[in-house]
Amino acid sequence: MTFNPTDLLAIAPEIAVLSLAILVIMIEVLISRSEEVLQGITAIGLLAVMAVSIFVRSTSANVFSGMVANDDFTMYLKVLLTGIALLAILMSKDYLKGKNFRVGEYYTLILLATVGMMILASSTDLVTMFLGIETMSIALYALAGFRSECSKSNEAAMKYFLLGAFSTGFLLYGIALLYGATGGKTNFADIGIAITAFGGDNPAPAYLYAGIGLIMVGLLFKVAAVPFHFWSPDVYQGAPTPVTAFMSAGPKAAAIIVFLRLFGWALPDMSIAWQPILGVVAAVTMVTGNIIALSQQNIKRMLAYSSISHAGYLLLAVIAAGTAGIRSDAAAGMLFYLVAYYLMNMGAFTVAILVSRARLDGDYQINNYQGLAANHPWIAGAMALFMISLTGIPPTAGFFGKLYVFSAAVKAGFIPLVVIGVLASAISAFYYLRIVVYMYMRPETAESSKDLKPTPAWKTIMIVCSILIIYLGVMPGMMMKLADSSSQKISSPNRVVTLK
Amino acid sequence: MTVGLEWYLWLSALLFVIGVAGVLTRRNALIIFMSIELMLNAVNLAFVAFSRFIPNIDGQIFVFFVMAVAAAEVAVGLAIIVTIFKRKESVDIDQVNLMRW
Amino acid sequence: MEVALFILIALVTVVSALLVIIRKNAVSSVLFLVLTFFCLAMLYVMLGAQFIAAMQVIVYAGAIMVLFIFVVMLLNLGTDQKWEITGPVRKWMGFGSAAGILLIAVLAFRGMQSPTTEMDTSIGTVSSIGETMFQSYVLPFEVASVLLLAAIIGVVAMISRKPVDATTVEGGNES
Repeated sequence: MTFNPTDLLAIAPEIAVLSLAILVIMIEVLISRSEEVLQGITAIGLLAVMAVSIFVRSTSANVFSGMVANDDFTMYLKVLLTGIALLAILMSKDYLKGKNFRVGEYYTLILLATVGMMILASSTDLVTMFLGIETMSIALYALAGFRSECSKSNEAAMKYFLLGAFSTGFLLYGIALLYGATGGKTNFADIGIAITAFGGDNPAPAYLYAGIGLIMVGLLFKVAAVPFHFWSPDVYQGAPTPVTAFMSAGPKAAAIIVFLRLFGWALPDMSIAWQPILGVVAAVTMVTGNIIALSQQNIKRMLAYSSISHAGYLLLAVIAAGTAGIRSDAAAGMLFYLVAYYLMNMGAFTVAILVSRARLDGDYQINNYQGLAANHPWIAGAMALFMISLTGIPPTAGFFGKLYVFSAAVKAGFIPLVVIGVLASAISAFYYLRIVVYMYMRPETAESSKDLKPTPAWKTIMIVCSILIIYLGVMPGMMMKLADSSSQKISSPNRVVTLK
Repeated sequence: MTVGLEWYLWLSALLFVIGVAGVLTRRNALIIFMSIELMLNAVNLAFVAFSRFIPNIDGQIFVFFVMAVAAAEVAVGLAIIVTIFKRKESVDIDQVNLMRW
Repeated sequence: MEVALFILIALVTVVSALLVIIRKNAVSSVLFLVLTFFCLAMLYVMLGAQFIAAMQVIVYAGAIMVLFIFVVMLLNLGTDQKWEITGPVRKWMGFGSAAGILLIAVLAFRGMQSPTTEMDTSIGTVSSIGETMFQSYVLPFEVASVLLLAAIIGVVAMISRKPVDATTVEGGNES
């Protein structure tokens, strides 16, 4: 198939973010190093990208010979990923102030990581999946090590990099085996077709199973599921906090979506083999993540373990997608959950930055939250809302996110897993609500009576996140309708075979 | 007797396992990284072998992308290792353990 | 003839790969890795992938390994490192997991029948790879360029420091 210029419309958001990244780095080099200017341009640019993602449409179902999907579901994901980058950038300016950072490179790397995530979330071919993962990861390795004067940040970058590259090896070996076993297919839809042909006299080769297992390992690493989560708390703690917030929302979303696409659309015929394994992983992830989070004293590590347990809840949707007929329900639930998770997590990290900045040592101890409500009722109220939403208590967005994911899993018949999920959420209430208790019921200390000085950018993030969490918690109907209608017709284009 | 697909796959599996063993047993970050490169090369061999025996060109294209990614990873990875060396005077991963699990 | 050649190359590959992970001296590890990569290039030629074989020599054995040796020399690691001797626990755990993966591979490839397809010599040529690359793979090709851009900017950001103004010095070491 020859190149069709209208295909470019399908990747217009990616092109826009990439142009923005190049623009920002050029401005930094040629015009202005000012943090305000660079942040302003990046933020306005990302708003423009959101508009582009919503309004620029391509009707062609099969773009770039089936390398990427082109449908409403993908479009919403791109809007979501742009939103994640936008909040991370709003969070960054005041954080960067006074630190010896290269601001232009910082924003550019966040934007390039976003391009990688968009490619990853829309990929329908193993090649685009691999390149998306790597573009995202390479930008994130550098971002994790951005505080080059800080040992913890160096260490975070090193751990993330070595373990990330190690997991890439497994992912690639899995891809190679899958490619060989399906007779040279790399496109998700083609793999699905090739796998239906197995059975009876023509059994699937054993290395097909090995390949699927290895791909699973590689992707589970990226979503930080137990037992491939070791990197995540250290990296979250060591990386600059806005980057941590970005990492906990963006890459997780992109990787879990490709997980859903690959396993739900290319490998549903193998679900007998992968559903039980993934079920065990999901159960262990939910329980372990929440239990270890109980003992954390550092809020960044606590949120890291909380994000591990949320990966477990999200895996339930992937598992449900393997059952025929539940696929689109699971995708819709996941989309809703990702939006909710994004809002509450970004909000929680913003409060974490605020509170830690007021401390002399700039540390992230949970004790710092004692008596916060007395002096800062609004900030404490927002934090309490984020914590309640992360626990999954109504009326918040987090509740409906969990509800939709769990109900998809129930429909698919995974009731024991859902029971474990609900119990794990109950455990999580202890550590999330502990912060609420600290804020409201402990006496204030000399430290906590200090003024937190929230800047306009941080106020905006907290207000936007709070309002949207309550809105989605009280009236989830509209968002659910969007998620439902878009996931009804997720495209999985075939590869157009080039014959020479 | 001719050299069949399984010969190449066995060799590729063996190289991959040697790479994994290197990553898990060494402490020098550079050598760990080299072992990872060994794993990637094992994968490339599997791709090229499948591509020859299917026959289908996509495997070789994939190898091309793996090489591009490996080059980028080497640049970033060595930069990280050099930064950490500047600070710690060591590339021993056991020395780099500030944070508990 | 082909069988003998394969066995010879495979032996050299495996032995030099083992030496990469056994040698205590980083320089000799790098050199054995280069040898492994050359052997793989020969195998690619045997598999009819001329272009990939050339890339293997130029990109991997050439460019990438030069970077490695450069860093080894820069960090002055060219001698035997005493601390490299790892404890028995880790050694056994490492080799144990590796053996586990090997077992999985044995189970996966056991009793595999090789397809008897004839070699298609048109597949590995520069022209066929180029045609495929710029037709169906045009998007991944462009994504690869984004990836390289990210790598360049990432390295610059990590290695070089921002020009320090007297007013912004705070915390961190400025030595």
